[in-house]
Amino acid sequence: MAKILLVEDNEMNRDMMVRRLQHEGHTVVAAANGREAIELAEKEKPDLILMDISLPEMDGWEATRELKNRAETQQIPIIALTAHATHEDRVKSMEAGADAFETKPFRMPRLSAKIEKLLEDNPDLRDRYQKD
Amino acid sequence: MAFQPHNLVKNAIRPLSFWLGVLYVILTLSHWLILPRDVAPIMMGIAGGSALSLFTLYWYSGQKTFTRASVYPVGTFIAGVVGVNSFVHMLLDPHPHLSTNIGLLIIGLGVFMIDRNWYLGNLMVALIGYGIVLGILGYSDSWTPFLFFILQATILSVIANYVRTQNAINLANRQQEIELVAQFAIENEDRFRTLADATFEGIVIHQNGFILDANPAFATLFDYEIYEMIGMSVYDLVAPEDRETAIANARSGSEQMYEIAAQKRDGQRFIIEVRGRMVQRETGPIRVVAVRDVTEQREYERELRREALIFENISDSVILTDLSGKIIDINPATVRLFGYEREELIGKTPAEMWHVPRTGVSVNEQIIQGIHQNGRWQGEIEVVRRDKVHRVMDVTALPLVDSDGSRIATIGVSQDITDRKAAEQAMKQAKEAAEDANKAKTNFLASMSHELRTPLNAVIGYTELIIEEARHNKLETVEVDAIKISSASRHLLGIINDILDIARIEAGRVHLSLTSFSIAYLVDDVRAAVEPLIAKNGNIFIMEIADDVKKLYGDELRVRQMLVNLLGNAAKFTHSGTVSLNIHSANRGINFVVSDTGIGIKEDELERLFEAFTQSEENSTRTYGGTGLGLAITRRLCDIMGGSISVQSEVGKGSTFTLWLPDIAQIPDELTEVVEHN
Repeated sequence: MAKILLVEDNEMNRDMMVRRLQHEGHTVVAAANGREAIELAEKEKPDLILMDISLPEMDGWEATRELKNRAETQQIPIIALTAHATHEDRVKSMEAGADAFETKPFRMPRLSAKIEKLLEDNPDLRDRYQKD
Repeated sequence: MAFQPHNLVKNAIRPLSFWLGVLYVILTLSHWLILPRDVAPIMMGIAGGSALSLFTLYWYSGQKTFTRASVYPVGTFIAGVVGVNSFVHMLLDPHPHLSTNIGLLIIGLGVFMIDRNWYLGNLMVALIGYGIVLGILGYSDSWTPFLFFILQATILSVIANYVRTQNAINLANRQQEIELVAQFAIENEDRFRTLADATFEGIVIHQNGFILDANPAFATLFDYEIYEMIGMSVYDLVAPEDRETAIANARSGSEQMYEIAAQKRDGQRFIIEVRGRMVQRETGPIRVVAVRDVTEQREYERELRREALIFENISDSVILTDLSGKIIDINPATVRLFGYEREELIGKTPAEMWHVPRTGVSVNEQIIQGIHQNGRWQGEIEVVRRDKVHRVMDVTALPLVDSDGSRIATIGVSQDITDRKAAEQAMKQAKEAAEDANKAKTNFLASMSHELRTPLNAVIGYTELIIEEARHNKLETVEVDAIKISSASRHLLGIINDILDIARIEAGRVHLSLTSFSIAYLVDDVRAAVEPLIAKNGNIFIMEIADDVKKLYGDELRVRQMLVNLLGNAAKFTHSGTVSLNIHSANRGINFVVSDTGIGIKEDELERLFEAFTQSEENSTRTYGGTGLGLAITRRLCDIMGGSISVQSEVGKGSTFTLWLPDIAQIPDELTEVVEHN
């Protein structure tokens, strides 16, 4: 399965998400804010990032822009995952460079489908993903 | 009265001669009766004289009747013959002869000639002839009678000469006078004709309404040729409603000026000023009428009156200034608006009276520049009224130009817009406040939604974990309870979503993603979503799609939302019945008809059905669940897409909702977002 960087400031949600993603069979690294997310993305080179938007220090949009601007991280697909459920939020996320958008509370089957699709689109990951 | 020798002949000599003649006849007759000798010569004299005089009379006058005027010359002739003869006969020659009578005849002829103003020469010829006759024939016994005749003839000649001369003079004078008058008359007519032709006033001469003559100005005025007008009724030129007035004026011979409506050849009407005068002519009274077209003048006067009326009554201030900026005239509104009296303002400049000093270019300069560059100036000026209150005036300044285009004054129209501006300001502030409030409400809803979703995310997530673990560890009771938590959580999420949805729709901030989508795919999706709900209450689901229904252009997700809402409601309120979805084309759109055989809706509740937070019964939320927002959202979404929704229901029998959506959604641009469809 894939290595996923989860960016989430709410501790409870972070814990819950980590466990649920692990139940799905993914390897999960977690960050609590945007800056940490960038550091971890560079260090851990995850296959995919689940990015919360309301984050302390650096919000999810800014972090997404930053990651998409850096050569070493720009190919990593990002799913914006936020409790901000409005149309504007979706547009802003897409503008920042996110590859997909999901609202919280999420449904695992739906999120899994998006994760799978993004990983399939990545030729480097496809083989590994399909092997598993 | 001046002495007229002619009158002497007429008034004195003629009657005198006449009566002398009568006396002679009597004397002669008596003489003849007493001494009846030499009758023949006397009779011959009388008869000859009478015959000649009658002939002369006829020849001279041509008159068939004997009037005093015609009898007198005859009498004069007879007197000429017999008067002198009787003297001679009685006093000098008691035995007259034929020759004497011939001589007398010649003398009488001479007198007659005198009376007729013939030449003295004729008389002289007669006298000389008479003397010669007497002398040669020697009938006279002495020269005494001859000398007497010479004397008589001389006296008569002198008188006759005098009379004749005077008469000649008179005659000459009279002829000259006649000639002069005639000349004058000709010249006069020429002059009058010239005058009439040249005058700008129309002049017409008519008799009893029939035109005798007109001048070119008159003909031109009515669009006729002069010759066409001769014989026309002058009243045909008058507008029908004014004919009586014109006739009355002409009949009464009035010389008063009056105005009537006239009409040209083509019926075009205009106003004329008329003045006529009666003139007597041999042929009867004629009327000379002068006519002037006063249409333009009247219109101009009307315009002036209108302008004056506007100037006096307009609620805006109107100020007229000369080129140096000094006030020439103001209207009453200016007094009201600025508080100054007219006398205080004339000769002053608006700048010194009420302009609030400004830095930079003065208002006056701006106005002058504006007029110079653009032909006008319009702007707001802050002024101080006499009571020191500041007001804002909306001023339009225009140049007042002369007929040759040169500017002679400036006209300034000012309107007090202080109150209006204040109201506008208040309205702007109110609008901003409302917008701020709306924005705050939207922001509040957005953040509330976020704040509710975050913990809910944890609740739902952890519940899923519990369910998984319970399932894994075969803890059935835990699993069932956890599933209930999950269900309740999702219901709570649904409420949050609906509230946010309706708030955004009402704030006009809902965005639709427009695509052309297949109805078949949409329906498959909808069926998958609602079938479990329908089956839950033991209902049968019937779906019919007409063949001609293919595609719709709109927001697929929102259409799906609406259909799920309607079918969800049908499923919820129907037990062991039928829920059906019928889709067919209708009126350039598609009808989605959702019917059920459920509990139905009371008539008085149908009206409130589509309002937010309403359910069929107060307690139905508890019985049936749901937020009560589904229909409200459906209705609003339907409105936004340009569709319509209606409902028919009978309590206990069921309900039918008909949702119609146009083939191509009609949506305000700001809510539209066209999505590329792969």
